[in-house]
Amino acid sequence: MSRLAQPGGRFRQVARTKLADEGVQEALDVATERLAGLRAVGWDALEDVEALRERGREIRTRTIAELDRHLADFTRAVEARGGHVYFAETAESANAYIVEVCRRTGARVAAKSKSMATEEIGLNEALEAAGVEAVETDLGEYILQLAGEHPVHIVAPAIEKTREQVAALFARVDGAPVGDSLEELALAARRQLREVFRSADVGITGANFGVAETGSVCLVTNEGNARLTSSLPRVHIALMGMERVVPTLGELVVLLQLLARSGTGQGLTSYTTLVTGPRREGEEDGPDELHVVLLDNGRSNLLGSSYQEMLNCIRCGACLNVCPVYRKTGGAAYGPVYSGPMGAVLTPLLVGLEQAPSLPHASSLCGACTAACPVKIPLHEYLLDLRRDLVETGTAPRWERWAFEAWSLAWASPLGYRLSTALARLGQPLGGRIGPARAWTAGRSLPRLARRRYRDRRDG
Amino acid sequence: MASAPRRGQVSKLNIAGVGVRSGDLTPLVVRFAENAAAVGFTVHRGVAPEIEGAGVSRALYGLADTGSVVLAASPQEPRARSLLPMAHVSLLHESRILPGLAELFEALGGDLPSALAIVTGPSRSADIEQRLVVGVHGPGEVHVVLLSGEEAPVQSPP
Repeated sequence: MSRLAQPGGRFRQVARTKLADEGVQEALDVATERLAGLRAVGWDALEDVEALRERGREIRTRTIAELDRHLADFTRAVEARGGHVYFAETAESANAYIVEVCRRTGARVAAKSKSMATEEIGLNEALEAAGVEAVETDLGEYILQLAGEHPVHIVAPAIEKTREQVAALFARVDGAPVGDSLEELALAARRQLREVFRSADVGITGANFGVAETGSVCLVTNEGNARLTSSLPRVHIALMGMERVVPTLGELVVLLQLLARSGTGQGLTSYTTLVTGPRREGEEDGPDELHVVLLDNGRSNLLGSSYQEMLNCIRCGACLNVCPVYRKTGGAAYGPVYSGPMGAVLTPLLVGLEQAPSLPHASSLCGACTAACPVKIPLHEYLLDLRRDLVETGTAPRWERWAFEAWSLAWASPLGYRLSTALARLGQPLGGRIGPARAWTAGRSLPRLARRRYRDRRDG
Repeated sequence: MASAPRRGQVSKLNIAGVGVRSGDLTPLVVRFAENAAAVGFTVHRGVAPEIEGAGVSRALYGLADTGSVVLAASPQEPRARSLLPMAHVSLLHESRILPGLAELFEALGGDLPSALAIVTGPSRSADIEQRLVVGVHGPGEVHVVLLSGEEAPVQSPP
């Protein structure tokens, strides 16, 4: 079963524990407010945000409309520079290819830079099973790997961890205490991960974008670990969601601005790197081999569907930071990979609605996600459409359908409406403690109905 | 009084030190220097700081809009030089400062080096408690030295 699958009751179950955890609630407040604030400042600094968003949307929509052509161009350009391209239809075939490259090159240790696509396919587990030690080098991902946990935010993966928890994890690696000031922790991570880079035979990165005209893989980071990962080991493997292709460098300029500003409010992140082929003659470092793995894994389900625009997503995380549901539940409730509104839309589309039936409900439909999206994906409308699909495909529980049909029938006539409010008044002493209302009243109080109806008071 | 430039400041002293008044700087160079300082570079003019163990690279270009230095991998410019040391110095000829990314890609003309790094400040992370810390992987201390006049031009674009 896909790692993305999210059984029905799991969202509610995880969300409940996160809601009860004060530390997590505070961490979520701090992180989402900081990131949403940075984005607001970053957008304000632009002359015409709306024009840039519109350009971004237009570039992404046009590219996805002719995805096969752009992927063919990209593949040719990578190969012309001496790189290898593999098209992986499934998570399994992507893992198998990467494991095979490691085996052929005799790799024992793989250094990894942050990549949600590798989380999506469960690459670390596949490598471990093949006897290759995979080590995450992004600070947040490294912390989570040591803790045996999954990212809870696609841009800031470890927001729920405290300094003290991180110090304890690093101390376990050193076998000696590590100070818990930020500076000491940063230095400890630098020292521990330098050892990894020294011994790594393979470097595995994701790809923020792939440029078709030049065959370049574009990597965007602040720590610089993607540069190390793609520079020091003798083999570089980049796993790229097949929708991440950009036709030209000129179009990349627009998307880089939108990505950096929406993610962290920066004009550009500390490191924006373009890798074009393996090392060239006379260069004293850089990988001898470059492999780009293009990942489908359900993405082609979206092509030609009414959800095609979801492939426009550039994974900036802006929708997470403004979502009232994500800001309370955190990312874990959505499953181990994608979270927030983008995750609630993307995950069911990749694995099938019946594999993640609760996710479209993880939204108040307020539209903050759509307003924050740099490429204007109609996220909250998609969530509503997915709920409709749940009913139409019979994935939603039958009682839900009957309840809504009965409601609609009752309120279609004045008599039915009066009867229903009379019934509600009769049932009020129960206080919503039975039936589906129980879920709602578990964390909230039920408003009381007035003793007399408004219209009775007005008329009498 | 002479004093070392502080991080995030344009060094007026070094500008005076090479006998150039700030009025000699073109608006593009000034914009570069201000933005580079804002993202965490210490900006010098003419004289490179002497820092033990620092890596020194010749920058292919500078970007005024974002205060970035553009480093291209080549036989003369290994990647590790700007990655492994805790301090890094970029030498940038003023004539190679461009407005922004769009002009950079135009100047490169689609012929990219094997690795092109657009560096905008020090290595930084906010992964722990959302608080900023520098030098997690790459250099935590970054300098850019503006060069002018008849100095040997930086390697041509590959």
